Amino acid sequence: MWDAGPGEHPDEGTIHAWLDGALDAASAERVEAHVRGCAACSGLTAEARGLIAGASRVVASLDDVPAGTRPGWAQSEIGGSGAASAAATNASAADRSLWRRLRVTPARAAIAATIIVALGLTLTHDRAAKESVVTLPAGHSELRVGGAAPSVSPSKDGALDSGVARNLEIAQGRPSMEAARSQAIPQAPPPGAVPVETAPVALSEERVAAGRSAVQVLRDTSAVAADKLRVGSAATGAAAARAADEVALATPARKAMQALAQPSSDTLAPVSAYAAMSGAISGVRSGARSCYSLESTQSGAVWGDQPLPLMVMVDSGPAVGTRSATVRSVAAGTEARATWVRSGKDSVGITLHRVGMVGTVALGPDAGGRAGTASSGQVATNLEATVRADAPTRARAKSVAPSPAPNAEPARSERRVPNAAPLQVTLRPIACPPR
Amino acid sequence: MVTPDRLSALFKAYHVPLVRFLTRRLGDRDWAEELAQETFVRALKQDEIASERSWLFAVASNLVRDEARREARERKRHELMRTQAEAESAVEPEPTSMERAEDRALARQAIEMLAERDRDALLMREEGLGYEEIAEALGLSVASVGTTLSRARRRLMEAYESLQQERSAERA
Repeated sequence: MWDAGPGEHPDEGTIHAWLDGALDAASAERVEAHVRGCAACSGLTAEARGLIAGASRVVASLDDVPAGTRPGWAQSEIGGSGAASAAATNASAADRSLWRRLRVTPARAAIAATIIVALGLTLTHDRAAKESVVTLPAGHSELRVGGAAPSVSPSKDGALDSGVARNLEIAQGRPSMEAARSQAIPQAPPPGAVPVETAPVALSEERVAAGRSAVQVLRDTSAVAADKLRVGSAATGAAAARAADEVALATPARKAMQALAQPSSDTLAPVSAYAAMSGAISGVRSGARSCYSLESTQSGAVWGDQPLPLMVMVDSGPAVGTRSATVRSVAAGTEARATWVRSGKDSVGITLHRVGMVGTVALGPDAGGRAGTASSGQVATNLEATVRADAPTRARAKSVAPSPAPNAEPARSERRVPNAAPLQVTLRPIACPPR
Repeated sequence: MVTPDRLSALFKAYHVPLVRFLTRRLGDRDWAEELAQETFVRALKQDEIASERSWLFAVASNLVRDEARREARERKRHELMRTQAEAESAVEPEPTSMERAEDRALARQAIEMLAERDRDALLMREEGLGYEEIAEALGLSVASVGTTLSRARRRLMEAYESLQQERSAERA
């Protein structure tokens, strides 16, 4: 507020506040009227415009900052445990991990997971709407929510080598400069853009468990997301299993947060991160028990030692990820355990668990059913096997094993003997039999 | 306690500007992201946050202050100067990138020359915080924010121009 008497000049701070739009309407009118009629204040205002524009450009030039430039002193200080500076400087990436510096506790890890889950669930709800309003102008690094025109990134085509005079020219010659600056500042989503529950929600175990599942999914899909999520210091090699679990729980949260931020070069990273996170979170949704028929058009086809068709009963579990399954022979009624793994790309793998047998099925995306290949064979364990690729297996107990035959491969304690050719199989959903 | 949904909304709204603020403040994106995350973790523990944006920026600013004390900042400045010297002495594969790197180093030096409060006020303003929010975050009166910002801007530009002149003189 500026309430000055006649002939009194606004000070520099008031002029800046006026130019920043921080004065109330009445004060702004008074300042404007005064500046219009006062040559000295008009000059001061022009200078202030130049300073505002110039400072914005200088500050914006700080944004092109690579990661990993943290000074050594900071690493040692944040460590906070009195570690020697030299040791901190030479620390490995794992040693410089956030979790060491921030002293991650299980509670914090759970909180981080909760952030992922909550954000992911929210994104899942309003993602379609969000996609229509998120604009990422080329060369710009921030998410823009709403229908605003694409912002123009402050030019970095040269230094401010003529100082304030140049800034004055910029500010006065191009009045849009200020508007560009303010547009470049990401604004909060408009009220109502984010569905927010008003009722308090407790940090339930369910959410934490979902967060853990999300972590697993993020791990499983890391190959896909690796180029999208900028991996920071990975927390690996934790000593205790529980500590490792907590750290691993929290690490993807950090990665996801980092990817959401990406304040510099990778303009698509936030969107990619949203997509990756949204996909990962949606994968956390539980899949109900489901059953399929594994079939082949080839007569006499077997998988493992089970003749096809086989019924594959997949236990409930995450829709994307690993679930246990039972493989039942329709003809013989015998069963074997298996592992069902659905990847983020919607492909499915089934691995047979049966003593003495090895079997895998690789299936493509779901199109009313899945098509793929199945291979299986015997596993000779604790036997010394003498194998030739084009010859049937000859295995003998170790105690009676003779010298290897000519052209034989070295003996191993376990040898997998695949069938001659993979089977072409299809997997179609069927109704589950009662338990 | 801030609910997870509310935290999610806060994260979406303020994570990007908060990280940029911290990046500009610290000069290291990884570090900025870590402190931003710590800020949100603290928000989750908070019973109630009246003015969310100013609260978040105040916490982030305090985190920086807690970690980077004056002596350490001096060391950082030396580190940056050393980095700049290395950049200047290095073979120049891409003139444009090099110029940008030098400009960035100058900007970093200039921003580090500001008083801490001036610097925080300026960086918060550049992130779109209003005068009331800056005042709340930094414990200032609203009336003094304009003065703080005008001083910060003037000193920043003076420092920047001075550094540029030094660089030009060295090249000449």
